[in-house]
Amino acid sequence: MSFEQLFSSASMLAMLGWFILILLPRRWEWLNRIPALFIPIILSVLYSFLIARYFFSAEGGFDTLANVQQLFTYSGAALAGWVHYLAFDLFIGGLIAKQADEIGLSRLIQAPILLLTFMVGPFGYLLFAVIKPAMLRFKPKEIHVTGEGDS
Amino acid sequence: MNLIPHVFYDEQQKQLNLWWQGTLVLCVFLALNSLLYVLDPRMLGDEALWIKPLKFEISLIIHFATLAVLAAWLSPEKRNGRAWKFITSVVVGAGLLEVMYIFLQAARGRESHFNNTTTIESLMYGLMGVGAVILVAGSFYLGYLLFREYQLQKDDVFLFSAALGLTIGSVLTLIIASHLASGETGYLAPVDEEVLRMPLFSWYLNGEDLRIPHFFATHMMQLLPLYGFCLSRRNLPIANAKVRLFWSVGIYTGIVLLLFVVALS
Repeated sequence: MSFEQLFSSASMLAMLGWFILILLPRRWEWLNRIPALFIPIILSVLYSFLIARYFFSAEGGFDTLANVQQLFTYSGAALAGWVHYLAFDLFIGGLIAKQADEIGLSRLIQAPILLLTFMVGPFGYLLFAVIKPAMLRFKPKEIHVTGEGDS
Repeated sequence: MNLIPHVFYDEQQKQLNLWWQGTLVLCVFLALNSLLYVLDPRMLGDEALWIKPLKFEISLIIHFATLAVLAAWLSPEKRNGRAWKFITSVVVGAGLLEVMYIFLQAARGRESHFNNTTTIESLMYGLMGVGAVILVAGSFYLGYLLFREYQLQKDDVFLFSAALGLTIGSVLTLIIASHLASGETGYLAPVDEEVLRMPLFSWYLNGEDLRIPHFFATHMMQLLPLYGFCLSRRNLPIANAKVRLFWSVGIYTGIVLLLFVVALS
């Protein structure tokens, strides 16, 4: 399989995970595990192989910005870096979704947070990191339930 | 009756209601946006690049908070009923999409409104129009529901002012904003460089800027209920309070329409 094919396959797999996380229901535990566990593990296996196989045969390194740029001119190393993004962003997305459900954050509000974690990882995480303590801070101790039904 | 829990919480989910969850998201955008406004010197047309998303974030935070507060006066059946929950989801969703797109376009250094350069931007401009209609439809609907509540008692001047503010404010906003959108750029940048500009708002103070009547029409949704609240605290006879309310509605609407007509001519 060529680097391009590996790149497309890894990206498609991650996108499947994000689709499940953002749009599908959360009531089945087996379905939740696909984006939160299985896909990050598959991507991590791929990353581990790529980094062991290609990192040390590429020039550059992590010590200066110029060296990082040089490292990423090598396809194998750049692919490893990309798969690293995909694996960790999805893993964080899975954690955010789980915690967001626990604190009662609406799926409508989760959607943009997860979408941003998908597209611009740390920005989405930042949103959640600010919203979560605010939600917990304002969580009502006791609410008098009125009106129809209860969940 | 203590209304505070009804302003903030969803009784069924036992958590902050969707209005405040959406407001939290907007607050994070606003904080980041303020930082960008200070640090990013880029300009777009005749304005600082980040001023527009900043204005939309502030204005939607006020809009969401207004609807959350005033919805506390609905009966529990209506507030927890499907119709109001549906409207809440649609309005919050539309508001967040609107802000996220305007923020994205600012980051790209491109216009969000009046941008038909590419197919996607043109499509998004159209969708933002739909989003804006949804936003005012939501406040109009709440105004209608509050009017129904008012009809049950007929002695609550605050409820009446909230119903009038939301419905008339929404209608005026829709009329002015659709006029704004039908133009080429929304407002005409004056040829004469000497025209005064309002600090922070960046309006042109030559009477031709349609954003000014838009602003006053939209914020009738806050000002009128506030006035109604003050009236209700003064324990005036209801007939007297209503007369004052009608006068203020008439004068305020007149001023907005006057600003609108002047800007058009």
